[in-house]
Amino acid sequence: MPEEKTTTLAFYREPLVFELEETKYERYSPPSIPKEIKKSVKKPLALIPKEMQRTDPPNLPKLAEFQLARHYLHLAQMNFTVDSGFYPLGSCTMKYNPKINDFISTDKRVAMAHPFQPARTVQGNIRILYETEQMLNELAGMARTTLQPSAGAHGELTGIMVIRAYHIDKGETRTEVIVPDSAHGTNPATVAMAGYKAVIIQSKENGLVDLEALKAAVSEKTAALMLTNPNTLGLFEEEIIEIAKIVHDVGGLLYYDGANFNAIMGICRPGDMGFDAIHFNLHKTFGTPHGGGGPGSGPVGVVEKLVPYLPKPLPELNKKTGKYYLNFDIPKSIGKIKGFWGNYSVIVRAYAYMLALGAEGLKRVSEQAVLNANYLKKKLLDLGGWELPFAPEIPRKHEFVLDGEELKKETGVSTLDVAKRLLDLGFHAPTIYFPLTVHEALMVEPTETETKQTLDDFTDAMKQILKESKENPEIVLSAPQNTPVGRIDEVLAAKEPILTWRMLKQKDEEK
Amino acid sequence: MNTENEGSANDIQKEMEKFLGIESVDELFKDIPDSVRLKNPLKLLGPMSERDLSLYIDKILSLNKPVVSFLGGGAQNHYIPAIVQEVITKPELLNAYTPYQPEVAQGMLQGMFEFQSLISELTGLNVTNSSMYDWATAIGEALLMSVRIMKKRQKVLISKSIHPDRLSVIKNYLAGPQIEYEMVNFDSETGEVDLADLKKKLTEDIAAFYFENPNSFGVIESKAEEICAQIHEVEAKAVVGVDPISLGIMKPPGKYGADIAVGEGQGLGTPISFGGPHFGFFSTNYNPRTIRQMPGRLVGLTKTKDGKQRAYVLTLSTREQHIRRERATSNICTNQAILAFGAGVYLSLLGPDGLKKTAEYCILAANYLANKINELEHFDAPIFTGAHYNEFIVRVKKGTMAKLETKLIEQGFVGGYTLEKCHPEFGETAIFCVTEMHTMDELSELLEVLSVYDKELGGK
Repeated sequence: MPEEKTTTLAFYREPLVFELEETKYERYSPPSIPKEIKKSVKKPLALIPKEMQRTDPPNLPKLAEFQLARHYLHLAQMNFTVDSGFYPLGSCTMKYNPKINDFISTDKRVAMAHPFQPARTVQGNIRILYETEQMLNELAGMARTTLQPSAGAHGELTGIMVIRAYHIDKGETRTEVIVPDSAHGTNPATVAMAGYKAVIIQSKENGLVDLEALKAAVSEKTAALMLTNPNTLGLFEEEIIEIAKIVHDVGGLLYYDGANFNAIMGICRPGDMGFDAIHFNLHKTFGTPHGGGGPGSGPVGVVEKLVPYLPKPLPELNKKTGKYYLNFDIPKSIGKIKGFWGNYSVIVRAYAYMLALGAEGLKRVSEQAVLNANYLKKKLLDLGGWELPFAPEIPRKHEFVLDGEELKKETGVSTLDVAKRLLDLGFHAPTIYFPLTVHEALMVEPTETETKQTLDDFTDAMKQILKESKENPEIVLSAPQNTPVGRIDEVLAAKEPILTWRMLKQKDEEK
Repeated sequence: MNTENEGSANDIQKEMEKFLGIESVDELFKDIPDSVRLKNPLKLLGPMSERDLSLYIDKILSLNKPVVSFLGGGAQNHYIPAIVQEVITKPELLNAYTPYQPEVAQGMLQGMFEFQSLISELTGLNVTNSSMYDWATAIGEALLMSVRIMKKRQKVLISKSIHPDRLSVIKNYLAGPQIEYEMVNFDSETGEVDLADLKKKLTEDIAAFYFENPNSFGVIESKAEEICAQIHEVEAKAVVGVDPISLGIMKPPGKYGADIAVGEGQGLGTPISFGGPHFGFFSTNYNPRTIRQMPGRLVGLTKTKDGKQRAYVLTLSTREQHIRRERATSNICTNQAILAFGAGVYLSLLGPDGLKKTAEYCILAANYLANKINELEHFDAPIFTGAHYNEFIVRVKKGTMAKLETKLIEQGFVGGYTLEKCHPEFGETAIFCVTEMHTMDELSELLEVLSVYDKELGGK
């Protein structure tokens, strides 16, 4: 029983960099300007038209490195990381990221190469793009994959823009994209950004796509259906073949949101299910760090008929010469979706991840992720207090969603309170209040890189919280107490926004 | 995962399966229709031991040829101080998710708040979001924000001196909502925005004009203030793309009338990494109405509920996809957090003096190199008369660029990025970029190679 176990986070009242004391100790020094240059060129100011010269220096801190080392260590020590503990954030796949991948990504030949270098000087880099694409094609059952998009949502936008280009090229004006109510928020937002109307369909009682509702929603206006499979409840859409047929029959296409790809690697492929486009989240499935919010990487794979519209360039191998190159000659391409070729140092990490595991290893990843999720699901349900909404008899895949509605009615303790209490007990909280189809949702994704011991410890913590909720709810309601800060006034943050040091100073001056 | 000698691990797996009442993990996938189940193993490379993986990738990377490059065009090699790299690889920061539980993410949140603050000091605009994917996507988002604010105006203007790749990205961002755009010419002498052309095109239906300073020819827009004034005359928004390091010596866009400033943050401590990940920054002035139209995540400073302590939290989230769904300002979710965090470290370390010195190195070394190249008989640099920051266009005699490129590579150099595809009207040109990474020796060696080539072409 981990009663004594608490977070390992440090507590600091760390000033902002702007508030740290200035020092006379040696500060960072950029390289000096070579004498020959100084002699031969005018003074810097003379090179800038008068009206474009900066008159006051920017108000940046004047600090020495030793102060910053301490400052950022303090900040780091206040941050929960998957390297220190269980991080079961549903739909986010917080697995362990192997160190070798980070190590390789900092190799100078990766880190220092300029994207505009002639292909003959970056054969290695283009080959890595090429081989990564080949592996992603194979994993998803797609014809080609663009590595350009920066993140999952960016992949969605790319995919829908490619689908849009396809329909336009066929001379069709389609105006709607269908999205189930359980979808990630990025799906409908992407639909709107790509200029389509989002048509939301209700899931049926078992949490899956309602074929009748889908049939009623599709028409010659349907450009695509966006679907996550397994869906956000962790349930596999077992009628996927029928779903695909309904959408394809009206000339629409199927888009696969790859946020949940960790559940199916080596088991089944979106391409074989009838999907026409898919984005991968390399930062979820393929062990690249989330960086506290990014960068990610969201490659988009497509079936043959969509290949002509993919962003350019695509990496190619000239089989005769054995040389790799970037192919810009894609006349129907949608063009570019971001600068350059993709988040390369993230792609390199994913490449290394796939190489290390191979086909069998990746399959074991999914199997273990699903085993861990179902094990933890049953452990938590056995505690009582939590419901498993939608088709309880069907196994979940890599994640599951519990409902705390009963617990709230009975004790006044909400899912939010449970999440906050988990922080006190040394765990990161699962995703809460998502999907929207479950009111007091607790969305748990343990991933494959957790031991049974950790899952058992987490169960014990949840057991303790249930007990506290019934016997002494105040402990839970007032949590967290054991973290660098207690509950935060989010209403104040939004009502009187202070978004920068400048705004803070302006507020102070007003007072 | 190893499969042999795993007695205890196998027992644990069996125990878990037994707990679930299943014979094997495979039963957990029984709801997947047999027709879509994979029948054969996938054809992938691997598996590899860590040693073999290192050797394999090392071998692949050794296919690269080490070069000293003078390439820019939206990604520049700047020196990355050791502490920046050290901080952004701290596992506490690198291996955390977006701070959805702020009580255990104060470190990340404070660092992002500091990033927002530091960029605002550079741009002179008091709100900065916690990052966009990159410069190009930040421009797309900025133009969409302008259109949302201007409501009925569905058209934007874009300076023709923009890099074609960035323009391509912008076109994709404008395509969905069907926002029209028109290009504004540059002055063929100075390389700056053609004010007369701008004036002509700035009509009452224009939501915004986007220009860059310095622009993609390296030219400083000396009339930026006038440009912004013209934009404001028709009550449109001035969206300006800036180089953050140049702001150590150049006037901040907030001081000359920019409504939104965007730019590429990569120079601030992010490795160039063959094109990404980099990060875009996005600044504007606070206004309770227009802030609701801003894309991307914002970290706010607030207090704990008991009012006793400062605390940081993601705020104004009702603009975002996870709340507002199809009515969100953008679909952006994951951004470039750790790189933005690193930029905060970079700017805090360099301070105003360090940033100024770095910018001075860039502008001086670039102008030095341009002058020296211009002294060669068959070279012309820069081709525009406007003031240049750290990039400039070099023109060579017709039919000599391809050979020059090869010569340079043979000597371990990559010169500028050739503009033959996007600006054939300039003749055979390439744009060179110089930063504080270029040592005097490298500049001299490059000049030597160019001078030898010049002589081969019959120069003095």
